[in-house]
Amino acid sequence: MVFLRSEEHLERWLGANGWEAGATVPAPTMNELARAWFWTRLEVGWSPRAVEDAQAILDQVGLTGEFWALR
Amino acid sequence: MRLRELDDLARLELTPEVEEEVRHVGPLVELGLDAGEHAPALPERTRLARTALGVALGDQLERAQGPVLRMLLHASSLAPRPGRAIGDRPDSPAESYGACDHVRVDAFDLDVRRHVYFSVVANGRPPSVTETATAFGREEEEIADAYLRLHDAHALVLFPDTTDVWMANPFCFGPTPHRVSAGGRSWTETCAWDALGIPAALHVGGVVETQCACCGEALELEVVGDELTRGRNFLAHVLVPARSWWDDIGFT
Repeated sequence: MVFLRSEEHLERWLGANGWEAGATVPAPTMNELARAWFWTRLEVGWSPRAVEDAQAILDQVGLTGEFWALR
Repeated sequence: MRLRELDDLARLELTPEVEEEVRHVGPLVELGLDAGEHAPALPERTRLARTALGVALGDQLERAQGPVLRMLLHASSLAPRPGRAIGDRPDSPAESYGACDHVRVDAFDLDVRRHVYFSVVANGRPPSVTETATAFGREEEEIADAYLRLHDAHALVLFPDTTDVWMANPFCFGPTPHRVSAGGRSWTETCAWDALGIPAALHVGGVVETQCACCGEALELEVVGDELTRGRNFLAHVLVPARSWWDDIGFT
């Protein structure tokens, strides 16, 4: 999961490596995802997150569809 | 003792006397145990100080700094959790999507995992198996087995064929070109998601120094509060579909 400056740089990067595009996420959305996903990571009572809960976080920030299906 | 009571105590001065006392009790407290039960003869104020500092710093006080205390003793960490003690949910699958639905970790593994994460925040690096074994008073083999179970359950990532921690996501301990300044320390991270995950996990703002995957040009992003205030036009790209993220987490 990498950062790129622009769509133009993304296309150039994919082409140079011969990779098919995956999913592009605007940086503000990635920040929103990171806040939701990692917010509890250092809590004293952290315990493993159920797949359904992880999927709900992706859904919550608008990352839906087959690409984002965790199973 | 309820964790909520620790809020004001996080501001206690780290005197040499307090440090010396906490050094003995810290690992117990870090495991969510009541320091009072394990050091019943101590005056009340001493128990409180030990508990407050032990929760945040475990047995690694030498490099302790005020910001570390404040980072860990934030409001949501102090929220009461009635009916469930720390680490008492046995046999939970840890982020088990992908290829490891069968892997389970138990309460002891979660205690070990907690020690790893708290050591990372306190010291900027993960503890070795030897260090964790010392903190828990257990054999190294037991701790190594716990590290391996946590790895298999995707709750930690070990360097290949070792018991050295590579990632305690969002924190990474291998060489990367990415840096995050957050909570008074510089961290490394593996990817775009983790980069923004570090300030999130610490409940602070932060600055991400990374580079464009295409041209290598420096990119800087900044989080203030919950908002991304710099780098908002940049893009993150995810090549690997979600169900395959753990097939090769280093590449993902």
